[in-house]
Amino acid sequence: MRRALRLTAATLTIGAALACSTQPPGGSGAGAAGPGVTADAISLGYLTDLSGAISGQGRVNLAGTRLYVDRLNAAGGVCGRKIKLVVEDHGYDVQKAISLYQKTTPNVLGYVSLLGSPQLEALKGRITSDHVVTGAQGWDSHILSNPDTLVYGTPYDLEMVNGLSYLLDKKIIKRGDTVGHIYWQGSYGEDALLGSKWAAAKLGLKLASVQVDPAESDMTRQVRGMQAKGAKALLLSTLPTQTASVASVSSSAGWKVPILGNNATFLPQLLTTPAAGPVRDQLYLVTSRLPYGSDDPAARRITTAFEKAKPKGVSPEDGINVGWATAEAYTEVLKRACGSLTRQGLEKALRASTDVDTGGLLPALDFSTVGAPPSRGVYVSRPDPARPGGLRLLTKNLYTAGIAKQYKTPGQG
Amino acid sequence: MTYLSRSPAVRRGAGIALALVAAVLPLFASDFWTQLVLYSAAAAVGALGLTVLVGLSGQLSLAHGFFLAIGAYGYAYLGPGTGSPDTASLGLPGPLAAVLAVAAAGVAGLVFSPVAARVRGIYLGLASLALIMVGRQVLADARPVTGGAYGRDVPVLDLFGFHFADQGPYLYVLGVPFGAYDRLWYVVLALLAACYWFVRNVLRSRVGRGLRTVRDSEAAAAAAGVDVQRYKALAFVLSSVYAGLAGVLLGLLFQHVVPEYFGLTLSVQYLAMIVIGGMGSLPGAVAGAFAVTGIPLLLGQYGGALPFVSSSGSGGLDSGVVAQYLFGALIVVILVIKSHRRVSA
Repeated sequence: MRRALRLTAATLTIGAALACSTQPPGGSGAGAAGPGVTADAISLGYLTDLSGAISGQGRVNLAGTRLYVDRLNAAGGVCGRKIKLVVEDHGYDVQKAISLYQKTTPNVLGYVSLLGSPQLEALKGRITSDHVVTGAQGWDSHILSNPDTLVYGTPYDLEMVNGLSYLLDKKIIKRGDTVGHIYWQGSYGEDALLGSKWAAAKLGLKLASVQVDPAESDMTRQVRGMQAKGAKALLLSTLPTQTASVASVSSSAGWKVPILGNNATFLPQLLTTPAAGPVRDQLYLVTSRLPYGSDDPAARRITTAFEKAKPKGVSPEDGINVGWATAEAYTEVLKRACGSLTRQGLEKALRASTDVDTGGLLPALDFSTVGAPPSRGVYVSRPDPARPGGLRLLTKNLYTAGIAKQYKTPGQG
Repeated sequence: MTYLSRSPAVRRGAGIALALVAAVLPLFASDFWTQLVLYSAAAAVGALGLTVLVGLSGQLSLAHGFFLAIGAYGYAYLGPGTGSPDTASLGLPGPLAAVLAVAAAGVAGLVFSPVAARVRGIYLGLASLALIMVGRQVLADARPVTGGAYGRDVPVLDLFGFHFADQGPYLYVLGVPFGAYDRLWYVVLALLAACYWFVRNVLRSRVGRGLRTVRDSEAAAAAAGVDVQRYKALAFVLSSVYAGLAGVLLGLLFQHVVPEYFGLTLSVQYLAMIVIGGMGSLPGAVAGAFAVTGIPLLLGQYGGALPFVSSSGSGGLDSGVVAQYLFGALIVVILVIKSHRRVSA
């Protein structure tokens, strides 16, 4: 028994030693087309959350992306090929996201969208070493320094820079005023805070800030705190439910303070809750995409497509435009890589894209410099129950504050 | 079956066969399977620790995720550094950093153990919840160490010039490229085996008997000459050392750690592992770790093949949602079957 064992062990060791080598077997065999590219289709990955903490957002965005891709494919596709979306649901789980990334990477040219900032952070290193051009479904300016990641629009910090400037321009606040920023613990809020801090210093405003936990739903403490500090306006980088709480708490105390929210602070559903009145009267929203249902050709084609397809379980809101815009911007970059549909080709095309045009849905996007924001302007809107997406544009064109051009994102040092 | 499995020769044979299969598996299994086993094995190390604490010494802890975080972040901070400008590193060699990170988790367990001496059962569980709260705030605010909300990169393990979890030097075995996961495979499985062996021997010793006596009756244990507080502290330290090691391994597998991962959910998942496997049972803890970690990954990978399930997001019932229902149902089924067995045994 013992001898047999020893013999087996020895054979195995020798066998293992013979089997090892530091040379790859055969040639490298790099083909002309990249992974996921065939004669008539290009497969693109889509890693999102359809069953976890932010699945609401994930579903709406995906519906918007599908609307765009269906229309594109019906019109013949891109580079003579149809787009095939490879959708995977990570359920906001980091471990699962890594596993699904590894499952899909060999079969896709790139990722249109990766939702969830912890998931993106965890995959950042792999994305860079695999040279997979990946669209981030988030607007954190820290992401900009990843060479293979694209951000679809103006980052959170610049949204706040523009927003504060706008309030000052319109004389809603004045120099020397105190403004209070209620922000999320995490990348969304903390990145927005970078912008509000910088802009407040630049514009001669005093900034008070308070962090909230994503799970908190009652904002009484924060609002009272800001009122005690004499804030003349509130800035929010929070969830829509928290926005509702801020609006109703402040107005019920008779404090009709203007509220400036960025990006994901608003949902049209808020206008059917008891907080509808205060939200309508106090909220200003800054984001870099056209609101859903705006009276503009770029937004109208989405409304038309949505009403025709009527995707199940999804209501018409900003997230539809987000999903559409991501797919459209990614496709525009892809178009520039038609000559060489490889990972390197797409990477090159991304950095050669200085003016990605989505018909005004997003500002013109410039991806040429790693670390620099692709755009610096925002649309300013206010809640309006009469509009299909619940938002009315205040600025016909993009609003870009004078100081926004001087702002440097963390990646620009 | 029972007789067979108790015969030492058969057991040893099975052990050797298992080891051989494990040794060659990365050559044949796809990345997905390698990864599934690795994540589960790393979790199994943590589950072994928790089953000693909860199952054998009877101290309920909801803070297991906290000790995992100490291991993972500790290794990342103490280790060689990844060149990221946002986070600091002490630059110690990888293996030393790993040992120190595990030790740090042990020390944290020791520091907390006096609390365990004061409160019991569900109250101890609630007290340990405080650690999770503190941990979350520390992970968010101690930026140079933890990287804040963005988390931080975890350096690769470098042993005598051979990188685990990295591509250098390039290695091919039987023509198969030996990637990051294949390299970590042997480290993780060897450590799991060593941990299993160690804790099994501890439990068969005087210490193990002492712990069980403490669980069943502290008064009886004290009367029999067992130093109750010392034994309880010992269980806490052992369990947090195991959690720390699991944290280091998971960090190596993830290559980047984020604070969201180490929340209360993670601690509850570890409790689920040891409950599914049977409180206090070592093979049960390992099996539970494989079930809790592996089933969601499996459903994510193959969920689309289930009947009545649409592919993700195309309307109708999503595989991700179905996966969650199935997982919940499975836990109920396992628990019901297990409680039957316990009655009949």
